[in-house]
Amino acid sequence: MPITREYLVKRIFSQIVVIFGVVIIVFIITRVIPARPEFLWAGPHPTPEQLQKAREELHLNENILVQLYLYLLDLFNGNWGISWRTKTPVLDDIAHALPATLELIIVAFTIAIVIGIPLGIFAALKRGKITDNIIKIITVIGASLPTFWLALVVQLIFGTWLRVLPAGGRVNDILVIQTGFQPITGFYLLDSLIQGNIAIFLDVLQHIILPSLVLSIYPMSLSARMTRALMVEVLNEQYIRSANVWGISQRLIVYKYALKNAIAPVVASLGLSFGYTIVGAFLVELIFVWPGIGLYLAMSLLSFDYPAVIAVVIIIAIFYTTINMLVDILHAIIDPRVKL
Amino acid sequence: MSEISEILKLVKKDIISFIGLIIVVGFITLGIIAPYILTRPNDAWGNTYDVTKAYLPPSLSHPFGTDEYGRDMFNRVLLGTRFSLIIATGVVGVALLIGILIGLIAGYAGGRIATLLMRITDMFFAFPPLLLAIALAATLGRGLINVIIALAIAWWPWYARLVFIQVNSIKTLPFIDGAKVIGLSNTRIMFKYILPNSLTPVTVQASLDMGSAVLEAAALSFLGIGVPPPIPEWGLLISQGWQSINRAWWISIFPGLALVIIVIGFNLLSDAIREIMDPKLKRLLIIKGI
Amino acid sequence: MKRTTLFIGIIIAVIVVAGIIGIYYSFMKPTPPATKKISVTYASLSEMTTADPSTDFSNSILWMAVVYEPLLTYDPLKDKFIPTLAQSYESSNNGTVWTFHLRTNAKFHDGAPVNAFAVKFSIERTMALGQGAAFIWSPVDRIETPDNYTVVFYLKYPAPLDKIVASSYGAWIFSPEVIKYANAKNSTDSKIADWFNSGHDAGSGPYKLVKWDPENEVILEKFNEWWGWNDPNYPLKSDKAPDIFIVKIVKDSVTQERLVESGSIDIAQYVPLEDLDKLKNSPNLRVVVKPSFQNLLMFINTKKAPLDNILVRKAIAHAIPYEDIVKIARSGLATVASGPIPHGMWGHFDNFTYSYNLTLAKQLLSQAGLPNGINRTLLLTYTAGDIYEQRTAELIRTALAKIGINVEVRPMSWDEQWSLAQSGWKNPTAAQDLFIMYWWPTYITPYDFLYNMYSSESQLFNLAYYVNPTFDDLINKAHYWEGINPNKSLQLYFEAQKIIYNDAPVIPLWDSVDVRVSTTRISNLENAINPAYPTVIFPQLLSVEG
Repeated sequence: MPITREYLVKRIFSQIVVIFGVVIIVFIITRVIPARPEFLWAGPHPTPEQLQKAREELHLNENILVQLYLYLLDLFNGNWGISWRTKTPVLDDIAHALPATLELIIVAFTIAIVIGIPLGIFAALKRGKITDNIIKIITVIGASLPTFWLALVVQLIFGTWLRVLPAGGRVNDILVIQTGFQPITGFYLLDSLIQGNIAIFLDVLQHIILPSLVLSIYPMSLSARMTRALMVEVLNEQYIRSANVWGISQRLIVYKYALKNAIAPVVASLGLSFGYTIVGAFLVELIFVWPGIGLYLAMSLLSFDYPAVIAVVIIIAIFYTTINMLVDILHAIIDPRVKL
Repeated sequence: MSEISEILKLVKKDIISFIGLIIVVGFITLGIIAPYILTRPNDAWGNTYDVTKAYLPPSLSHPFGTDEYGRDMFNRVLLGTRFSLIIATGVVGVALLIGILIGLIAGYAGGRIATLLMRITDMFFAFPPLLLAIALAATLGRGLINVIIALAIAWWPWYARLVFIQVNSIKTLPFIDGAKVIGLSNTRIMFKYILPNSLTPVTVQASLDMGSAVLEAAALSFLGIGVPPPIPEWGLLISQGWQSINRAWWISIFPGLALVIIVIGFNLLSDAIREIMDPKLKRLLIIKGI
Repeated sequence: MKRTTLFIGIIIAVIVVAGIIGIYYSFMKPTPPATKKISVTYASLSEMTTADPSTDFSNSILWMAVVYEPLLTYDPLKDKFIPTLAQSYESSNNGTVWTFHLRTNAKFHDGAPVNAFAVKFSIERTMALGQGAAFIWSPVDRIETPDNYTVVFYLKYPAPLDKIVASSYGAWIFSPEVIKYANAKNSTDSKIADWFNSGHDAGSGPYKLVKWDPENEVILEKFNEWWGWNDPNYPLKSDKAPDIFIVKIVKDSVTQERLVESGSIDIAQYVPLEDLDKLKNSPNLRVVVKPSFQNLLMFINTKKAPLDNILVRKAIAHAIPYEDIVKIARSGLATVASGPIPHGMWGHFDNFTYSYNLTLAKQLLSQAGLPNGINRTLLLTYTAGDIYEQRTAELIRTALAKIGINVEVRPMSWDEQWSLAQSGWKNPTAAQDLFIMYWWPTYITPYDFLYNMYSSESQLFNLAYYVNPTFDDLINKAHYWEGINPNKSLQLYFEAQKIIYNDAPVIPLWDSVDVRVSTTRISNLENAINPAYPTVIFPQLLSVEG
């Protein structure tokens, strides 16, 4: 089914409705829970007057529908609230943190695809033989490793015992000051290249290797397995065999026909492992102290900082549904047989 | 049932899948008998502490070493199997219950009810599942039951969708029309005829999801919103060992290894079963990225 | 085919654009000259919340205590005041009039002199805003400035104002020019707070604020015109102080340890205490251990049976293995508490420990009519996320089980934990039985501990719901005499502590010590730490190798 404008509109609209519903539900849940956020707002040893004032500032004494109305109004005006924990606007906090996470995820996915797909192809070509089995075992193990545990182990071995790579953080601050590095887009790898700052580029690379490697293991294994499974299926199909009969070189067959047909579900599965990877990023950021959204969400959740939590939840929901929608559309472009 | 025994027969033939089967069976058995085979039950249940035995590295008397309270880690990891099993069966069981019910009703009723139910299901799909579970668990607070509830609530949509699709294709079959003509009530048709025929894919999927359930529960406990100490759940043990990881690597490493082995077992088994099953269904499951 | 050409075309376009941007930047941006500035990085566990010196009551003290200055600095271990912005002071009229003589050569970072008006402005703004630690100024009736460098405080009742002006929070002096800089109407206009929070400082301290990124780092640079650098009589400085001081947020102690070991940061605020032995033996690290005035206490719900029985409370007090808790929970890096006032602080007395004696505990329970222990499960709450509280709570649970008391341990977020505890004033049976929390003083006085946690007026933090008018009276008298006759005050504080020792509404568990780890590049760290200013490291006192 070709993509129609009508489909796009319908899809985006339903996306918005869903996200809206999510915002309202999350908001209500967070207000119904018996927490007393004014205590966070007022500081560690407040006086009763300070607490009362905090309650008023946070509109906590008013009707919950009123609070919801005020909140939604602010939302549409671009005011996503002030974090009860950091006392700074939530959007600012997120703007700082989001590129860091995106950079991590993009690098991780790149590694996953660059290693995973060829691995899967290789396994499919050698199916049934020892190499295939070895790759199969590796990918199964890769898909079974708990991200947070793997992060701890990798950090222990490479950061503490062997000391070959930094154990945490995103960049060496002393180097930043000495070379005058300024973030422009927030993607440090890009920014350092734009500024011609090779020292920082290498330093960021050093810092990003371990966490992105850890994060890439799951999507890598998944894409290897998917690629292999589907390549095998496709390689078995009639027209491939008949093309073989006609003597067309195997490589041409593999890349042009088989891969093209197998790509679509792989893209779909990568899109779905994206969800798992977001949470994986969350845990990896925690352990490697990577200053991204995951760390921010973790801190906000654990201190019950509702404005921050809602904002991050909305952002993640938007991202996630958008990626899903893009994946579905991509899927449909590549494989016209797929029904939307 | 006969399908299942056929599948098992095929599994036993391939060595890799056989290993998976052994691991899974071993996990379930250990999970059941664990409390009775503990050599140091007080250590395992967390009822005692001994300063003189703190942070002992792995040795013959303590194969997995001891933690900061002087408790034997081997016993704790062993008992942890029991809790992982409880969580896995609990989560999958509850999620199945909810998912099947909703998928069945939506699939059979069709029309506006179906749209409504599927819209609600869609709302859950707006989130990466573990994230939803984290948010729920953080709200509900710690506890074994809360973890099961949080994960089950995050998971049922997948099962609902699977059942929904199955029911949709079954309900158009002629024998259903026949049942309607005879005058059987809708409920009867749903539960007696449609349900049994739509269960296979989702139950197989669910049983294989047990491995992921253990993993996600461990992640929740690691973050501190899962089970409370002193329950020796593996994720909790890993997080407790994190603080002292430089001094005592064994506290975090061994529970993690246990987790890895269990999940590998379930994955191997699920691979094998999927390869054996109906290819169309396999494609469906693969596309779901499960 | 058309699709592929389009695709290739897009890629070429992207490369060309990127190339143009790159060339633009490399030509426009001059390469920075490589001047070697000595910098020190200090890792902080928590992020900063605010940059407003009047209202901060949290982590920003780390850098505010360096960028801003109070009138006096207090050295609690020597019980001495070090003149900072005030060179000398005297009190009169029975401790209700305090006169401070300011030094004449102190300047704010914008060059304006620190004068009496600035002092009055700062303190009055803090009082007017009423947030954070503003309550320390409640004894003040009015402030007068008879001349440019004299400030006179008139108090409503006697109070130890010297300790108050040396407070860790709420006592910083900043420039009145902030009204102009922030385009504000008056001192309490929120525009000033916004101005502070966008990364500006109006202080007079040895360093100025250069970068404000509260979630990630705060960067300070040496203020060369600071009066202290060239003052031969002022002890709190060093010739080899760093040019740049970076406070870097590293939210995990395991990572902090690794970073300091690899030299990526110079000073770690918190490291896993379990690793301390290994760190002490490391050739490129220095470990500094200093007392802190933070302690951990357990509040017993004195209004919920059977804990309303004093014998039961004393039984609990004798069933807790204090030494073991210190060894296991803090790896030995704490001191078993003796009374609610921490070791080393003025007002601390050593004879208030409870012995760990299970036989005695069981005896006391029997005397209370509970020979078999308590037949319901007690609820113990603590703040989630703190591993020392967690371990302490676990050990208490295991220990009390030995005398037949079953405890359910529940970690909660701080505000929920406190909220539940608050409900105990109206409905004691609905609240927890045992409540664990830390306390630390705002300014160094026993009154801070005793009033907040034991006074019947302090419902916010008296979470044992303890009501004892004799005690309330005693500590008020003690505080009254504190600024006038310290010995008499000390005597009264002793009497007060004896009462609560015998009543046991609260069991102080341990007094914390601070452990800071630095690279060998840093010297004199011991003197850069002052327990009266928790978590602060004063970089002006550090001696740094290039």
